[in-house]
Amino acid sequence: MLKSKGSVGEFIYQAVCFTIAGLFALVCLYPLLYTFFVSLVSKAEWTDSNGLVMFLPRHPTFAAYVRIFKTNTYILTSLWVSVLKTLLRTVGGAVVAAILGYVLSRQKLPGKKLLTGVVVFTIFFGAGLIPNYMVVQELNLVNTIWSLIVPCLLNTWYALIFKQFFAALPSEVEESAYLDGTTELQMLWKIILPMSKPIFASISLFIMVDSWNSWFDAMIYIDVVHSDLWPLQYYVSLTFNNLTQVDQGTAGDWQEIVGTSGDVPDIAVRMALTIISLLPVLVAYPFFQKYFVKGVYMGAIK
Amino acid sequence: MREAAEILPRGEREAGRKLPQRDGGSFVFVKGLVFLLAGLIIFCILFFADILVKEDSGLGISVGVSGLTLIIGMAKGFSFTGVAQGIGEVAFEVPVLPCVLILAGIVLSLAAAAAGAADLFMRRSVRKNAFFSFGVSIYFIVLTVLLISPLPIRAEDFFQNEVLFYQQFHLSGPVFVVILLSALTGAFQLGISEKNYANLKRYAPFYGMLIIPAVLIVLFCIYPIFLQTVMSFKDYRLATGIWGSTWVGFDHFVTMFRDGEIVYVLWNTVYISLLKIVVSILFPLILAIMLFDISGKLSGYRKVVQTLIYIPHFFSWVVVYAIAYAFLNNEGVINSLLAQLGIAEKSFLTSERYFITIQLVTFGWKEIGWGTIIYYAALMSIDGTLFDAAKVDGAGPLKRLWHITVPSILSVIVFMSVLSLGNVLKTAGGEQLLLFYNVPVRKKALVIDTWLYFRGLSDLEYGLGSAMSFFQSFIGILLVLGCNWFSKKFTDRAIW
Repeated sequence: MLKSKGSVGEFIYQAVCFTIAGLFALVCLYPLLYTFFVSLVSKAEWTDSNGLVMFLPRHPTFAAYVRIFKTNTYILTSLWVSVLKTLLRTVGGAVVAAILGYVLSRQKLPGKKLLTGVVVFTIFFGAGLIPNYMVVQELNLVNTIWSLIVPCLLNTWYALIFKQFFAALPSEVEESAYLDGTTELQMLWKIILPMSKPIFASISLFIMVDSWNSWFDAMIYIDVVHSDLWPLQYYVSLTFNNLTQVDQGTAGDWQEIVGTSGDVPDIAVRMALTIISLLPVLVAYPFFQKYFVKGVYMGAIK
Repeated sequence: MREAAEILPRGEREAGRKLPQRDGGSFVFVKGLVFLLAGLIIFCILFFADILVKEDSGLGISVGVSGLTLIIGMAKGFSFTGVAQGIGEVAFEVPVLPCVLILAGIVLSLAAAAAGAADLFMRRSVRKNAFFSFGVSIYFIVLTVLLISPLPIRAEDFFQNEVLFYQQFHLSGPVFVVILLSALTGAFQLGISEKNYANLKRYAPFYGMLIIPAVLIVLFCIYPIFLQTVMSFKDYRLATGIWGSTWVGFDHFVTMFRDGEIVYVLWNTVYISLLKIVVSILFPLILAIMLFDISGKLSGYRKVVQTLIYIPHFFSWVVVYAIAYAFLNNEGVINSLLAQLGIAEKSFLTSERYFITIQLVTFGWKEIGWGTIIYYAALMSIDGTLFDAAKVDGAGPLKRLWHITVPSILSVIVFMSVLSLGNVLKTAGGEQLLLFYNVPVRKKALVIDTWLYFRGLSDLEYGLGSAMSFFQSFIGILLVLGCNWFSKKFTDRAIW
């Protein structure tokens, strides 16, 4: 497999690189597979094997998934909340970041320096948990779905990545178009936007993952009474029962799903929930991998 | 258009058709118009909007006081009436000094509008007039600070008890709008010259589009900072609200540093952060170099590995916790394996001993693969002929590593380290630690971010929490500045 032209040292080095990289890839992959395997395990098999199910169970069953969707409707509500907030945050966030990034990238725009100063300042000097909570409270957003969307709509990092991208576009095209009488808006619409599909893809995907994965905002902004606004990730975190002791104590209805009765072990239900909550990201990832990587490159080159 | 003709080549072609006039009339007109309009808007806000609020959060009564109400009340011999939400008309008193000060501010804003009108109608552009706008802005900043500060101005609450002015009254949102708007007008007056007026016109629509991000920045970035600063020095009570709460000076900071847990909090924050920084710099670096050095013939293999190692980054901490739970809980796979070896069950997740290790391992699992991207990009930009030449000269892989690879990306490594060190008070990671938190591991899991959640939010100690955040941001910005200076001095890279 490895054709070493050089010395033994060369071969050993290649072998080491090859092995370690491969091992690390397995380390990344296996826990994921393990989670999936456990979600398929039946109660009988789990007891028999003393919890040592390391590969696909002998008698895989989707009973855990069925139970999740049949016990109550919370899962559907929370899925809907997650999808809705992800959609709104992605569209809104990408547009807002693009506007700010585009304006910051215009070298000749009067006021650009002031604006850049403000943006950079807000990156390095932020407020903490409590002031942010109070602002959301003052705006009467607490316990509404907007509390999960509006406060994080503007991400100045993403705006700066947009800025990098727009600033790197060849300015000759724009200048000559401008001299031909094209207005800036037409230029944005007809020249810039068609060229910037990759960056929009990258940033939208980043925001999408961010917002699909966020749960902490739900924990602080949405109380038990409004549990129909809890997104999936927060719901999953609650079934692990660690934080319920600090979060007003009552997540009983949610716990119902991982009750003790039934033909599936608790752990299988929990892992099934985990798989449901990570599935969208996992399914989307292979298609968009190159955009994610590109996004990092663009953010890195400053 | 005429000014554009003087600067831009497009004008040269137009000039053939239309002779450019050199009076700059449009420029002066627009500038004067903006000045006048902004002045009028500011005046209207001050006159008609509720700029002062008399509030008792405990009773839930708040009365808005506009400039108009103030003037009418002053004319009636300092007896004021206003409409309280849900109660109807109420009579109240406003102390003389604040009345006069606010009135002076309104007059100042009128003067700014008048200067704008003069500029507009006399077709002139006096740059010094910008200072009217800046004046209004600064005046209201000073006024805000004065009126929310513990000045010994007496006022009456709704039961005619004597209290301090700031405990009953505060300036409200519209005043901040006035401050911002007049500062912007001033900047416009001063910054826009005949030279860049063409550019201003060219980019005009974007200023409109900028409104959305600007409002978001002000509401969710700048206002919280202001709030945090104020709250750090106040004893916040729900009953008295943010503005009515008593000023307590540095009390919160004293409480904070006398807190029995503060030692763990600060130590854990720095300790966990530093370990995480090492994990997030060293391991991705090694892995990236290995990936890069895998021979070109195996690029397919390399791609597969890269695809796999990026995956964990996209999972939320909830998912990572769930997976860790599956492995580490009392009947999880690791304990089952240990049982097979005859080793007693260990409660990994609830014992202090393993806590930090688990944090580092899960963090590493999630981020190491993703972290390779940045180094890999840096490695790709090395001139490949260097390696070939070294090979011809008989340099082994380790020699190449040491003499070519590492020196080539040293600046990236230093830059990344410096950047992370600047964030040392935030890297410990609130979300992750909160998920792994349970009572037995409290001592190890308390870092600034988790402490903020428990003490600040759950125990409703908003003042104390704000003080901690203030401390965190303040030290943070000092670290960032220091690290940036360092980076600039010793590498070619800097954040700005």
